[in-house]
Amino acid sequence: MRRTWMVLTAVAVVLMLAQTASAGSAPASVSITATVDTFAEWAVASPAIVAGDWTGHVGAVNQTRTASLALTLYANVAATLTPTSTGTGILTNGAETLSTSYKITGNVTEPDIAYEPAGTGSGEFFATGNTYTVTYAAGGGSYTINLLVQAVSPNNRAPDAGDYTCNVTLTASW
Amino acid sequence: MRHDIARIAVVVAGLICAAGGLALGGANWSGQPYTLAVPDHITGAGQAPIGSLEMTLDHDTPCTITVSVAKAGDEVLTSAGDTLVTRYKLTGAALLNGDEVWVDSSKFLTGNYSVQGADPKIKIWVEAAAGSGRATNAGTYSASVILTASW
Repeated sequence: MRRTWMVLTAVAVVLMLAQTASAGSAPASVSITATVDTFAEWAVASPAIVAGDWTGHVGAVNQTRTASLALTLYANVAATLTPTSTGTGILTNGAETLSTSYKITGNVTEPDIAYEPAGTGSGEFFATGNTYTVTYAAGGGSYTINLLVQAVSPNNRAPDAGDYTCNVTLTASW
Repeated sequence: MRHDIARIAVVVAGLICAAGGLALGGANWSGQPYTLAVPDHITGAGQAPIGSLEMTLDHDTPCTITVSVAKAGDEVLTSAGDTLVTRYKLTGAALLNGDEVWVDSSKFLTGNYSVQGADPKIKIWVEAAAGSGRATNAGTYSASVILTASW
Protein backbone atom coordinates (compact mmCIF):
# COMPACT_ATOMS: atom_id res chain seq x y z
CA MET A 1 0.00 0.00 0.00
CA ARG A 2 2.82 2.36 0.90
CA ARG A 3 4.38 1.69 -2.47
CA THR A 4 1.12 2.51 -4.21
CA TRP A 5 0.99 5.87 -2.48
CA MET A 6 4.59 6.53 -3.37
CA VAL A 7 3.82 5.86 -7.00
CA LEU A 8 0.74 8.05 -6.94
CA THR A 9 2.72 10.82 -5.24
CA ALA A 10 5.40 10.55 -7.88
CA VAL A 11 2.76 10.74 -10.57
CA ALA A 12 1.30 13.83 -8.96
CA VAL A 13 4.70 15.44 -8.86
CA VAL A 14 5.20 14.65 -12.53
CA LEU A 15 1.83 16.16 -13.31
CA MET A 16 2.71 19.30 -11.38
CA LEU A 17 5.99 19.57 -13.20
CA ALA A 18 4.18 19.11 -16.47
CA GLN A 19 1.83 21.93 -15.54
CA THR A 20 4.73 24.14 -14.55
CA ALA A 21 6.68 23.45 -17.69
CA SER A 22 3.71 24.24 -19.95
CA ALA A 23 4.17 28.02 -19.79
CA GLY A 24 6.76 29.50 -22.05
CA SER A 25 7.68 32.15 -24.56
CA ALA A 26 9.13 32.34 -28.04
CA PRO A 27 10.78 35.51 -29.34
CA ALA A 28 11.21 36.54 -32.96
CA SER A 29 13.41 39.44 -33.98
CA VAL A 30 12.32 41.39 -37.05
CA SER A 31 14.96 43.46 -38.84
CA ILE A 32 13.54 46.31 -40.88
CA THR A 33 15.16 48.48 -43.53
CA ALA A 34 13.99 51.43 -45.61
CA THR A 35 15.98 53.38 -48.17
CA VAL A 36 16.14 57.09 -48.86
CA ASP A 37 17.60 57.91 -52.26
CA THR A 38 19.52 61.06 -53.06
CA PHE A 39 17.17 63.71 -54.36
CA ALA A 40 16.56 67.41 -54.74
CA GLU A 41 13.14 68.93 -55.20
CA TRP A 42 11.53 72.30 -54.94
CA ALA A 43 9.09 72.78 -52.09
CA VAL A 44 6.77 74.56 -54.50
CA ALA A 45 6.78 73.22 -58.03
CA SER A 46 5.37 76.26 -59.83
CA PRO A 47 5.93 79.43 -57.85
CA ALA A 48 5.13 82.83 -59.33
CA ILE A 49 6.08 86.45 -59.01
CA VAL A 50 2.91 88.46 -59.36
CA ALA A 51 2.25 92.17 -59.81
CA GLY A 52 2.04 92.79 -56.08
CA ASP A 53 5.52 91.37 -55.50
CA TRP A 54 7.21 94.22 -57.38
CA THR A 55 8.56 97.29 -55.68
CA GLY A 56 6.00 99.21 -57.70
CA HIS A 57 4.42 99.61 -61.08
CA VAL A 58 6.39 101.18 -63.89
CA GLY A 59 5.14 104.71 -64.15
CA ALA A 60 7.89 106.54 -65.98
CA VAL A 61 10.66 106.16 -68.52
CA ASN A 62 13.96 104.64 -67.44
CA GLN A 63 12.40 103.42 -64.24
CA THR A 64 13.74 100.39 -62.38
CA ARG A 65 11.54 97.98 -60.50
CA THR A 66 12.57 94.79 -58.72
CA ALA A 67 10.96 91.74 -57.25
CA SER A 68 12.30 88.74 -55.39
CA LEU A 69 11.10 85.25 -54.73
CA ALA A 70 12.45 83.02 -51.99
CA LEU A 71 12.42 79.43 -53.15
CA THR A 72 12.99 76.41 -50.94
CA LEU A 73 14.98 73.50 -52.26
CA TYR A 74 14.84 70.19 -50.40
CA ALA A 75 18.07 68.34 -51.10
CA ASN A 76 20.10 65.58 -49.50
CA VAL A 77 22.84 65.78 -52.09
CA ALA A 78 24.99 68.48 -53.64
CA ALA A 79 22.82 69.98 -56.36
CA THR A 80 23.46 72.31 -59.25
CA LEU A 81 20.91 74.88 -60.39
CA THR A 82 20.59 75.79 -64.04
CA PRO A 83 18.36 78.67 -65.16
CA THR A 84 16.48 78.38 -68.44
CA SER A 85 13.36 79.82 -69.99
CA THR A 86 10.84 78.40 -72.38
CA GLY A 87 10.84 81.87 -73.97
CA THR A 88 13.36 84.64 -73.80
CA GLY A 89 13.08 85.35 -70.10
CA ILE A 90 12.38 88.98 -71.03
CA LEU A 91 9.29 90.66 -69.61
CA THR A 92 7.02 91.06 -72.58
CA ASN A 93 3.64 92.55 -73.35
CA GLY A 94 2.76 91.91 -76.97
CA ALA A 95 5.56 93.50 -78.96
CA GLU A 96 6.72 95.59 -76.03
CA THR A 97 9.44 94.56 -73.62
CA LEU A 98 11.10 95.75 -70.48
CA SER A 99 14.82 95.35 -70.00
CA THR A 100 14.96 92.29 -67.76
CA SER A 101 17.78 90.90 -65.66
CA TYR A 102 18.18 88.42 -62.85
CA LYS A 103 20.18 87.50 -59.78
CA ILE A 104 20.44 84.31 -57.79
CA THR A 105 21.35 84.59 -54.10
CA GLY A 106 20.85 82.55 -50.98
CA ASN A 107 22.33 79.15 -50.25
CA VAL A 108 24.57 78.94 -53.30
CA THR A 109 28.34 78.93 -53.24
CA GLU A 110 28.71 81.90 -55.57
CA PRO A 111 25.67 84.18 -55.37
CA ASP A 112 25.32 86.90 -57.95
CA ILE A 113 26.44 90.35 -56.90
CA ALA A 114 25.06 92.14 -59.93
CA TYR A 115 22.01 91.54 -62.08
CA GLU A 116 22.65 89.50 -65.21
CA PRO A 117 20.68 90.37 -68.35
CA ALA A 118 18.19 87.85 -69.67
CA GLY A 119 19.87 86.20 -72.62
CA THR A 120 22.06 83.32 -73.62
CA GLY A 121 25.17 85.28 -74.47
CA SER A 122 28.35 85.34 -72.48
CA GLY A 123 27.76 86.82 -69.05
CA GLU A 124 24.01 86.61 -69.40
CA PHE A 125 21.67 84.78 -67.08
CA PHE A 126 20.74 81.95 -69.42
CA ALA A 127 24.22 81.43 -70.81
CA THR A 128 25.41 77.87 -71.01
CA GLY A 129 27.52 77.20 -67.98
CA ASN A 130 25.85 79.82 -65.83
CA THR A 131 25.01 77.43 -63.03
CA TYR A 132 24.81 77.70 -59.27
CA THR A 133 26.03 75.17 -56.74
CA VAL A 134 23.86 74.73 -53.69
CA THR A 135 25.79 74.98 -50.43
CA TYR A 136 24.95 71.44 -49.44
CA ALA A 137 25.73 70.24 -45.92
CA ALA A 138 24.93 66.74 -44.71
CA GLY A 139 21.87 66.82 -42.52
CA GLY A 140 20.76 70.22 -43.80
CA GLY A 141 18.05 69.07 -46.12
CA SER A 142 16.51 72.49 -46.86
CA TYR A 143 18.01 75.45 -48.70
CA THR A 144 16.75 78.90 -49.57
CA ILE A 145 17.37 80.11 -53.10
CA ASN A 146 16.41 83.69 -53.93
CA LEU A 147 15.47 84.63 -57.46
CA LEU A 148 15.60 88.40 -57.98
CA VAL A 149 14.25 90.10 -61.06
CA GLN A 150 14.86 93.62 -62.28
CA ALA A 151 12.74 95.37 -64.89
CA VAL A 152 13.73 98.69 -66.45
CA SER A 153 11.53 100.72 -68.72
CA PRO A 154 13.00 102.34 -71.90
CA ASN A 155 14.68 105.68 -71.44
CA ASN A 156 13.36 107.28 -74.60
CA ARG A 157 9.70 106.36 -74.72
CA ALA A 158 6.85 105.15 -72.60
CA PRO A 159 6.25 101.42 -72.91
CA ASP A 160 2.71 100.25 -73.53
CA ALA A 161 0.63 99.97 -70.41
CA GLY A 162 -0.28 96.47 -69.32
CA ASP A 163 1.03 93.34 -67.68
CA TYR A 164 4.46 92.14 -68.77
CA THR A 165 5.23 88.45 -68.31
CA CYS A 166 7.98 85.92 -68.80
CA ASN A 167 9.11 82.69 -67.23
CA VAL A 168 12.23 81.19 -65.72
CA THR A 169 12.92 77.55 -64.97
CA LEU A 170 15.46 76.67 -62.31
CA THR A 171 16.43 73.04 -62.70
CA ALA A 172 18.13 71.29 -59.79
CA SER A 173 20.31 68.40 -60.89
CA TRP A 174 22.65 66.09 -59.00
CA MET B 1 -3.07 -6.24 -6.41
CA ARG B 2 -1.01 -3.33 -5.18
CA HIS B 3 1.20 -3.63 -8.22
CA ASP B 4 -1.86 -3.55 -10.46
CA ILE B 5 -3.11 -0.39 -8.80
CA ALA B 6 0.28 1.19 -9.22
CA ARG B 7 0.43 0.24 -12.89
CA ILE B 8 -3.07 1.58 -13.49
CA ALA B 9 -2.15 4.80 -11.73
CA VAL B 10 0.92 5.21 -13.88
CA VAL B 11 -1.05 4.58 -17.07
CA VAL B 12 -3.76 7.04 -16.01
CA ALA B 13 -1.12 9.59 -15.10
CA GLY B 14 0.54 9.08 -18.45
CA LEU B 15 -2.74 9.64 -20.25
CA ILE B 16 -3.39 12.76 -18.21
CA CYS B 17 0.10 13.99 -18.94
CA ALA B 18 -0.35 13.30 -22.60
CA ALA B 19 -3.68 15.10 -22.63
CA GLY B 20 -2.20 17.92 -20.61
CA GLY B 21 0.69 18.15 -23.01
CA LEU B 22 -1.61 18.81 -25.90
CA ALA B 23 -3.77 21.26 -24.04
CA LEU B 24 -0.78 23.08 -22.64
CA GLY B 25 1.31 23.07 -25.81
CA GLY B 26 3.21 26.08 -26.99
CA ALA B 27 4.10 28.40 -29.80
CA ASN B 28 7.05 28.83 -32.05
CA TRP B 29 7.97 31.30 -34.76
CA SER B 30 9.13 29.44 -37.82
CA GLY B 31 11.01 30.83 -40.77
CA GLN B 32 13.41 33.03 -38.85
CA PRO B 33 15.38 35.20 -39.27
CA TYR B 34 12.76 37.75 -40.25
CA THR B 35 13.80 40.67 -42.41
CA LEU B 36 11.45 43.31 -43.77
CA ALA B 37 12.71 45.62 -46.49
CA VAL B 38 10.36 48.43 -47.50
CA PRO B 39 10.25 47.93 -51.25
CA ASP B 40 9.74 51.50 -52.44
CA HIS B 41 12.55 53.97 -51.87
CA ILE B 42 11.93 57.47 -50.63
CA THR B 43 12.70 59.91 -53.42
CA GLY B 44 11.10 63.08 -52.10
CA ALA B 45 10.18 64.93 -48.95
CA GLY B 46 7.07 63.72 -47.16
CA GLN B 47 6.92 60.33 -48.84
CA ALA B 48 5.79 57.39 -46.71
CA PRO B 49 6.27 53.99 -48.33
CA ILE B 50 4.92 50.86 -46.69
CA GLY B 51 6.30 47.37 -46.29
CA SER B 52 5.01 44.19 -44.72
CA LEU B 53 6.23 40.76 -43.74
CA GLU B 54 4.21 37.64 -43.11
CA MET B 55 5.50 35.55 -40.24
CA THR B 56 4.44 32.12 -39.06
CA LEU B 57 3.52 31.49 -35.46
CA ASP B 58 2.96 27.78 -35.03
CA HIS B 59 0.84 27.38 -31.93
CA ASP B 60 -1.54 24.93 -30.40
CA THR B 61 -2.61 27.05 -27.49
CA PRO B 62 -3.88 30.56 -27.01
CA CYS B 63 -1.04 32.95 -26.44
CA THR B 64 -0.17 36.60 -26.42
CA ILE B 65 2.33 38.57 -28.49
CA THR B 66 4.20 41.43 -26.91
CA VAL B 67 6.58 43.83 -28.59
CA SER B 68 9.96 44.91 -27.30
CA VAL B 69 13.36 46.10 -28.49
CA ALA B 70 16.89 45.04 -27.68
CA LYS B 71 17.83 48.62 -26.90
CA ALA B 72 15.97 51.88 -26.64
CA GLY B 73 15.17 53.45 -29.97
CA ASP B 74 15.54 50.30 -32.03
CA GLU B 75 11.91 50.63 -33.10
CA VAL B 76 12.63 53.82 -35.08
CA LEU B 77 14.14 53.63 -38.55
CA THR B 78 17.49 55.36 -38.17
CA SER B 79 20.52 56.10 -40.33
CA ALA B 80 23.52 57.98 -39.01
CA GLY B 81 21.48 60.11 -36.66
CA ASP B 82 18.65 60.87 -39.06
CA THR B 83 15.31 59.15 -38.61
CA LEU B 84 12.15 58.32 -40.45
CA VAL B 85 8.78 58.57 -38.76
CA THR B 86 8.09 54.88 -38.16
CA ARG B 87 4.68 53.37 -37.60
CA TYR B 88 3.58 49.78 -37.29
CA LYS B 89 0.61 47.47 -37.57
CA LEU B 90 0.28 43.85 -36.53
CA THR B 91 -2.48 41.88 -38.21
CA GLY B 92 -3.58 38.29 -38.60
CA ALA B 93 -6.75 36.23 -38.61
CA ALA B 94 -5.80 34.69 -35.28
CA LEU B 95 -5.37 38.03 -33.53
CA LEU B 96 -8.28 39.13 -31.40
CA ASN B 97 -7.03 42.70 -31.31
CA GLY B 98 -5.02 43.16 -34.48
CA ASP B 99 -4.30 46.73 -35.54
CA GLU B 100 -6.65 48.45 -37.94
CA VAL B 101 -4.79 51.75 -38.01
CA TRP B 102 -1.13 52.69 -37.89
CA VAL B 103 0.44 52.69 -34.46
CA ASP B 104 3.25 55.08 -33.51
CA SER B 105 6.51 53.27 -32.90
CA SER B 106 6.58 54.12 -29.17
CA LYS B 107 3.01 52.95 -28.68
CA PHE B 108 3.71 49.79 -30.66
CA LEU B 109 6.11 48.76 -27.91
CA THR B 110 3.21 48.64 -25.48
CA GLY B 111 1.25 46.32 -27.75
CA ASN B 112 -0.23 43.16 -26.27
CA TYR B 113 -1.90 41.05 -28.89
CA SER B 114 -4.13 38.10 -28.07
CA VAL B 115 -3.74 35.07 -30.31
CA GLN B 116 -6.87 32.95 -30.15
CA GLY B 117 -7.41 31.46 -33.57
CA ALA B 118 -5.48 28.68 -35.20
CA ASP B 119 -4.22 30.58 -38.25
CA PRO B 120 -0.43 30.79 -37.89
CA LYS B 121 0.01 33.78 -40.22
CA ILE B 122 0.90 37.02 -38.47
CA LYS B 123 1.76 40.04 -40.58
CA ILE B 124 3.84 42.98 -39.43
CA TRP B 125 3.50 46.23 -41.36
CA VAL B 126 5.79 49.21 -41.24
CA GLU B 127 5.38 52.71 -42.63
CA ALA B 128 8.57 54.73 -43.16
CA ALA B 129 7.77 58.42 -43.52
CA ALA B 130 10.23 61.11 -44.52
CA GLY B 131 9.80 64.53 -42.98
CA SER B 132 7.92 67.05 -45.08
CA GLY B 133 10.01 70.14 -44.35
CA ARG B 134 13.39 68.96 -45.60
CA ALA B 135 15.16 66.24 -47.50
CA THR B 136 15.99 63.40 -45.17
CA ASN B 137 19.55 62.16 -45.48
CA ALA B 138 20.06 59.57 -48.15
CA GLY B 139 20.93 56.08 -46.99
CA THR B 140 19.63 52.84 -45.59
CA TYR B 141 17.57 53.20 -42.45
CA SER B 142 17.36 50.32 -40.00
CA ALA B 143 15.14 49.29 -37.13
CA SER B 144 14.36 46.09 -35.28
CA VAL B 145 11.62 44.88 -32.99
CA ILE B 146 11.16 41.68 -31.04
CA LEU B 147 7.81 39.92 -31.06
CA THR B 148 7.51 37.50 -28.17
CA ALA B 149 4.77 34.91 -28.06
CA SER B 150 3.95 33.84 -24.51
CA TRP B 151 1.60 31.18 -23.23
